[in-house]
Amino acid sequence: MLKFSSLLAAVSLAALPGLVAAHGPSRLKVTESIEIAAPVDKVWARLSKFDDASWIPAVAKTEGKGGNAIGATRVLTLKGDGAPTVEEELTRFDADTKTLGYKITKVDPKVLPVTNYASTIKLSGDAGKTTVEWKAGFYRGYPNNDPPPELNDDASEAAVKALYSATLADLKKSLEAK
Amino acid sequence: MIGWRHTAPRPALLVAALLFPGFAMAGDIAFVPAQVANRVSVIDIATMQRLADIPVDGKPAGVAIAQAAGRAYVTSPEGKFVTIIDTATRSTVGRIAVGGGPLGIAVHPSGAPVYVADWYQHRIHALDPLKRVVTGHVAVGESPSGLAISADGRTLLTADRDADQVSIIDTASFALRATVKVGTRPFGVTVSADGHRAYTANVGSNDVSVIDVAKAAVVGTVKVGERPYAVALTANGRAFVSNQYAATVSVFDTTSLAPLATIAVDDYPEGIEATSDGRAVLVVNWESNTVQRIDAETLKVTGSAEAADGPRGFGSFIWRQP
Repeated sequence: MLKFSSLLAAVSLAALPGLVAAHGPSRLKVTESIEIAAPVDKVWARLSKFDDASWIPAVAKTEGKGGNAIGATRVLTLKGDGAPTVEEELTRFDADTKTLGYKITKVDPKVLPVTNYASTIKLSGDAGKTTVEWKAGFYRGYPNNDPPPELNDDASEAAVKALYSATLADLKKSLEAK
Repeated sequence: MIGWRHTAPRPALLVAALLFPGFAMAGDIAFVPAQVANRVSVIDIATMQRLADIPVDGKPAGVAIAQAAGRAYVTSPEGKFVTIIDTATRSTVGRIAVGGGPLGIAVHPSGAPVYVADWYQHRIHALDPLKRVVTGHVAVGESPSGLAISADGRTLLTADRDADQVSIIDTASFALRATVKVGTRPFGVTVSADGHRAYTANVGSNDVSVIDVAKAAVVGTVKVGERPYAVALTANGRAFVSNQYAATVSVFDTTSLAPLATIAVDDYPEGIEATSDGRAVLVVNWESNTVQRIDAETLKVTGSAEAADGPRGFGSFIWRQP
């Protein structure tokens, strides 16, 4: 089963101290969205429990603390070799506008080649259909100038884009099937 | 960044104020580096109309304005240079090679030198904007990001992000005078109009450190929202802080340091600066590609404009059109 980022060659870079690590010069932006033929409340119910990331196919297990309060944390254990983990924290939660935001507090760039990564999920729609918009802001995996190709801006962007598009496609399939 | 300053209204401004009642910031033009798009978006603040997008390569992020000279200096950390923009013609007129990772930038009130923080080489460069060369360096703490210069031009402050400190530099000798430990990971730094106080937005500890510049000491800490980026100071004695991850602007009183409000804005608010009359602030929203104007008194969003993709506006980006 794929990791968050499946194609990264082994890179001898120590895991970065996540939270507010040194980072590259340009924050990168990825936005993926999908329309799902399902009521917006149903989609929100699936996505909005911060301690349940089972809607992301790459995730094997979620351990959450703090529910949906700002500052709640979760540890995602991924499928794949070595069962890598990603630690995240909830930074925004608004049930009225169906918006939630979170950041990664700890990840090995071999798993996902990013630093200072934060993400926002916003839903819009009605009783018949829903648009899910998933946005990320992050810096590349390599914190200094002149990065190796597997940790440059393009590689980081491609990894997040692949994760989001595959996850949203899977979400659409599972919610429209029921 | 520099805080709001007292300026006598000039005739052109008065005429503009009559044309745009309620907007004494008529004549203020924002030059906002948009990092994803490799553009600098030019926005009329009174009308919130986008006037132009100026192509600037190398992932532009930081900006400083030489008011009298009519220049905007824009750092490109990826391109490792500073681009010179003529603010009247809204066109690029030159480039200064810097090397390293130029990010934060400030201009001496006289128009020169231009100071650039090198994010990777942990030093501040002085640039001669006419000869377009680097003329000197001073070493500071790790990963200097924001720069601010006092209105009298004597004191330059740098937020040394990964050293959790502010360096205070005497510009006459271009030497380090003092360092001050602040909150975790200070990014933007802003100095008050009188030069007595400086404010850092600490991205790691979600607070603002208030510094007594003469004493080189922290005299207060104010809790703000998630991942604060920079601070703007308005004429009514308020500080406005952009909170990137919370998508809010925190407002506090600069005398009592009491929190006053939290204003919802668009996504990833970053660069923030007071208008020339000190009665409004402009906040640049990186994720939403917008610039919003907030009334400093009512704390309402009174206008919004689109910017090119990934606007940052890190520094001072408002030019008062003569």
